[in-house]
Amino acid sequence: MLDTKLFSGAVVDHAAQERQWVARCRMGDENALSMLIARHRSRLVRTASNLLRDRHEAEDVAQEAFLKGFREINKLREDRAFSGYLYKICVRLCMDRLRLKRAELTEFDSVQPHEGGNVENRVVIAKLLAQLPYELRTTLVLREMEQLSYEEVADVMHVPIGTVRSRLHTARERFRKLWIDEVGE
Amino acid sequence: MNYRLFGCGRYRRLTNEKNDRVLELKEREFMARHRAVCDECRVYESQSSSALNMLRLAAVQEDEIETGLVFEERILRRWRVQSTRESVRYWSPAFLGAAIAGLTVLAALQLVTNRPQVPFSTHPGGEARLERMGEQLPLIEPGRIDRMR
Repeated sequence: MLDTKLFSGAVVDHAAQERQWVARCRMGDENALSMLIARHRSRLVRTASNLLRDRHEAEDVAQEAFLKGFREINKLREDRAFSGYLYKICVRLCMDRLRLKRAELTEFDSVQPHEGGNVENRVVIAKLLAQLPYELRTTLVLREMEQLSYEEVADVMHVPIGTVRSRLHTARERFRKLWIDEVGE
Repeated sequence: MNYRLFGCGRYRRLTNEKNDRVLELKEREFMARHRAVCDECRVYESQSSSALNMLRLAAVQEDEIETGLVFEERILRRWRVQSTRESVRYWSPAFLGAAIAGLTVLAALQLVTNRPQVPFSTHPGGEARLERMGEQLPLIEPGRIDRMR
């Protein structure tokens, strides 16, 4: 579902190339590993950054996701499913971290804003997201920041679509209230 | 004065749903009518959309991600360590089994070759001679055994 849609010849090549790399990875080819890392690293780091709001932690999670993906590459039934599989691993690892962090008090002085964009806004958003339970936070980020469809969110989070819908409704409402409290509108 | 009108619940539900789907004409008409008369819902909608817009704006984009060779190198290094560990974990029971089997065979060979031998030849005096690896052991004297009894 999360795989690249096959619309044009270029995309078909892209998918075929990835299948080849996955097949070579199974045989332990390090060049193929490098190719797969180069192809997916930005996407994974971006997703993890959006979920965790911490660049260093996001890189750690992305690395773990790659390692886990490569370790279990032999279990994949279809080579073309690697991209989606890797994405799911990354989101699950982020959710695990968010679950562990839930009780911790986040220090927002240490939030490292990314280059570009509205730095202040990002710090505020990180602070507000940290106040949401991890299931609501993940649902909201996947839908609003990662622009995934309901089906994709349900697939990644392993929950029914109805649950995604209700979580998203609750998350938006809670986020709105937090936002109002924060900005005082 | 703010007060809830009939239809506020529906309006808020539609405010949420319009983020995910295109509303039908009658739903849009209902919202327009309600918006015109309900200040509270109008404010709710505006707050809701500005909060979500700020959230979307705060999303990290792929072009902001700078992961150089260090990132890749680190993964490859950890992958090598992981593969070595896994192969050790995979083969270690076999190595352990082979080592145990080897030691058992050696011990058995040792026992077989060094077993004490009592030759059946007797000396003229009727004394049995105990020998081990060419070394002469004390004579067995049956007369003394009787005396000890």
